[in-house]
Amino acid sequence: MTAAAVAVERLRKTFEEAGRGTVVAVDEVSFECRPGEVLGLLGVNGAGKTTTLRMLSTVLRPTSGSATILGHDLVRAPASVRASIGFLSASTALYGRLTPAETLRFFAEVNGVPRAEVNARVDKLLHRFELEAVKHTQVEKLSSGMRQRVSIARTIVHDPRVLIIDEPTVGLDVLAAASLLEAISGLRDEGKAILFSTHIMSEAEKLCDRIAILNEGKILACATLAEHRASVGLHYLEDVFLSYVREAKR
Amino acid sequence: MTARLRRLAVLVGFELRGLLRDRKTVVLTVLLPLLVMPLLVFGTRKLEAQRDEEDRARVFGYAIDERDAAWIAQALAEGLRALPELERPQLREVSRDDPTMDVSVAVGRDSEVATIELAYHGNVHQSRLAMEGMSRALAAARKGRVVAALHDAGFPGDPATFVVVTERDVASAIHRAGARLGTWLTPVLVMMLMFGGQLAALDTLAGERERGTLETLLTTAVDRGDVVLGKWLTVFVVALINASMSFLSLWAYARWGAVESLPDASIALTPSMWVWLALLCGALAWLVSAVLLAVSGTARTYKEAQLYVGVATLALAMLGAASLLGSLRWQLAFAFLPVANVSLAVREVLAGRPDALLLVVTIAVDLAVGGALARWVVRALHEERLIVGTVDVGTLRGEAALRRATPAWVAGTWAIFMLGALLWPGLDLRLQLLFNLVGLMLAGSLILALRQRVALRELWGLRWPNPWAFLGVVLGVPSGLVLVGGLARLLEPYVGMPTRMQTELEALFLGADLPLWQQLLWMAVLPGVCEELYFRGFLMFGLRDRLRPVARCLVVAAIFGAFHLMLSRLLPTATLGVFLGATRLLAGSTIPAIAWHALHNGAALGLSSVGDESVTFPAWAYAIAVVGLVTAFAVLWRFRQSVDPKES
Repeated sequence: MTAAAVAVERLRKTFEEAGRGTVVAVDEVSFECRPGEVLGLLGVNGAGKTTTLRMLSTVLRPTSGSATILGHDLVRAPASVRASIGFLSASTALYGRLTPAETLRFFAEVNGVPRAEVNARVDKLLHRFELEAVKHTQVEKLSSGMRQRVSIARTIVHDPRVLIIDEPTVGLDVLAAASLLEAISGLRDEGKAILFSTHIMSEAEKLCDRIAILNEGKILACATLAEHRASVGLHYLEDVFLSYVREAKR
Repeated sequence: MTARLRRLAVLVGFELRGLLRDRKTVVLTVLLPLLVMPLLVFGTRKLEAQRDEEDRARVFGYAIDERDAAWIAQALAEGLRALPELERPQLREVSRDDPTMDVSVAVGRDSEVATIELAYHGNVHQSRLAMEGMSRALAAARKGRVVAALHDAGFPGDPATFVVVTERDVASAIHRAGARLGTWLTPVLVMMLMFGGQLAALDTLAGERERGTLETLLTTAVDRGDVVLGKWLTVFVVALINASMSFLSLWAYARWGAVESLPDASIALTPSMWVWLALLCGALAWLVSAVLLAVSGTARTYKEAQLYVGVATLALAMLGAASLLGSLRWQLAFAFLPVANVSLAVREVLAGRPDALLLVVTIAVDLAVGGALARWVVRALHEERLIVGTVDVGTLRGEAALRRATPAWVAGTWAIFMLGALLWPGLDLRLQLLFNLVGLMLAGSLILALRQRVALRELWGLRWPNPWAFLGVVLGVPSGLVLVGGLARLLEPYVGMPTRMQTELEALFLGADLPLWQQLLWMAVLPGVCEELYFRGFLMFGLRDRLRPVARCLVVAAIFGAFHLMLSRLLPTATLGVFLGATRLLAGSTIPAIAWHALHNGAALGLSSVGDESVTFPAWAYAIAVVGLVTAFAVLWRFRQSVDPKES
């Protein structure tokens, strides 16, 4: 079996929030993600998906537990972790005053892509995501679907081996969302390890090789869709999900 | 170019390009200064000229007490005749209840002295001018009468030419112009830097945080320190461009005659003055951009940052206005007060009184404070509260939280120390010691420890050391005393009169006729215990994660020196601080350092009480002291005891 690109061990995050006191956002979650695999984190809003992914992208520091990405420890080597990943979430916006070409060039350069390779890499991505026609238009003037394509191109411009993608289709129309999911599927085929969080069951069904079901900070189950179906005896993922959540609440 | 420098260049280029694409920034940074400063000068001068003209043409209303009308009217008529035409006010007598009355005049009941009352009718300026004109006229009348009386009494010669006072300004025109320019240059520059840099600063962190682009940037391979440095350099460049544009435009307008020549145009700067001014202004721009970045980096929203900028501008403007206070002398205490130090330094340089040592301290302090602020911003970029609006419970309390709070706490304590010294210089020394040592240092660190739930034994390093450590202390104290005293005497020609100050300090106690045990308590035991618990205990504990042991020892020693607020005591005290810090680290405990400090102060007090403090030791004494000190630290090293791997 291929070695895990992402290995998470009992990762925990607790917050102190005004009015709510101590909140356990992520409660000792453990999972692995291998190269060429899309691991879905499926859960309702507030289940702990975004917090988990933010910890893995080093934006947040875990309260306890450990995680490695391509062997780099989250806490001890955050810079190496960041150099190994591409992170895309609803909260990672683009610079509105830059054009798509400038955006890709900037992120390639700050991520350490050799200068000689930058232009070729940028041109290739503009072509791949059909952005050539708008490459000199400022990002703030693009449609949301176009912007999301720029975002995904920005995420992979330095060719990271691990992608962390948090609810990327939020606010996109059906066509734009489908196009984005196709792009992510293509990246999986290139051998990238992809952590993909969503609350949309159909996305998880279509895209994910394995699905971890998160509820109130805990992973209730992590398996392939077929294994989940067999485990609870239900066909639709929505029913499977509800079954796990109701079981956990009992 | 290294990869890091390349990334930094990319970040700065990217930031500048983003700002240049924002019309708002371009207008406020480049175009506005081209108009604002000349308009400000032109407008002010126009208004002043208009007011002068109106004042010259104004007829002031005056009323005279009826009982003295004849006497005063005659005196006024005499005075007005005696005054040259340009100084002669236009006066019109009105009744006391006339609303146009500006002043009223009466003669005092008990003496024949004219009393002028100011009558305000909503225009203080007009009443004052009337009073000045009236005073001039009455003074001229009085002078005329005195001269006439002397003449009548047979005074030989012309009494009017007797003891003629003439004025002569010994300062050169250049120095006068420099002094004038120096008083307003820094306040104006501070405002321009704040105004010019704030848009870029607020946009670059608070704005990015709000738009979500900061999180994008923070998940790239670029180091957060480099992110901050890149943004800092951008704000620095923008602020400098803005300030330069303002001054250049003003100079150009003056040169083209669009505005009147500047009053200080006669100033001639020597090359060394240019260098000092450039360094001072550069340090100021560096610091102001760091302040702006700190405001932007620690605010949760753009709106919150705008609020903070207002407060920061006010604070910096107040500090920058130090040069306007003519009574403030430029001394070491001010050299440690950021912004105010540059303000005073610029004034002194332009007045032709540069002090190289204070200038170096000033520039170093502002650069260091700027650097500390930037580090603070880097830390803020790790703060989850600022990135995602939540706080990890692990960071709320405990040692980590105390260490985070330590620098700000120490800076605050030092600021209170300095304010106290400036505002109440004549306060009883015992009260000062109680407030500073017990109140601020001991109780302050105690409160912080209790708040963060850190064990006091850990915080203050109160572990029982290896008893042999005290042998090291006993050997070290006399050697340290000789060497620190020698250093003070060596520096005396450059930085003042430490022995005289020491004598003055001691006279406060000896003169008070205190018993020896009380003198030792105030001068040796109290500073020994409180300062060591604070510097070698709390501060060394607080900086443990930031600095390696040697650097920590040196930094704490420098802070220890700075807390003594006198240039003459800075280096000798810091040297003693190095000995004490090294003792603390080697012994793994603060107790031997307390013993060393108390014995050192006690011995110094003993020497001064027998009048030997000014004795210069022969060279062999210093050689023995060096050997003694090496032996002391050899003993401490041999019996070293470290409880923390970071201190070993």
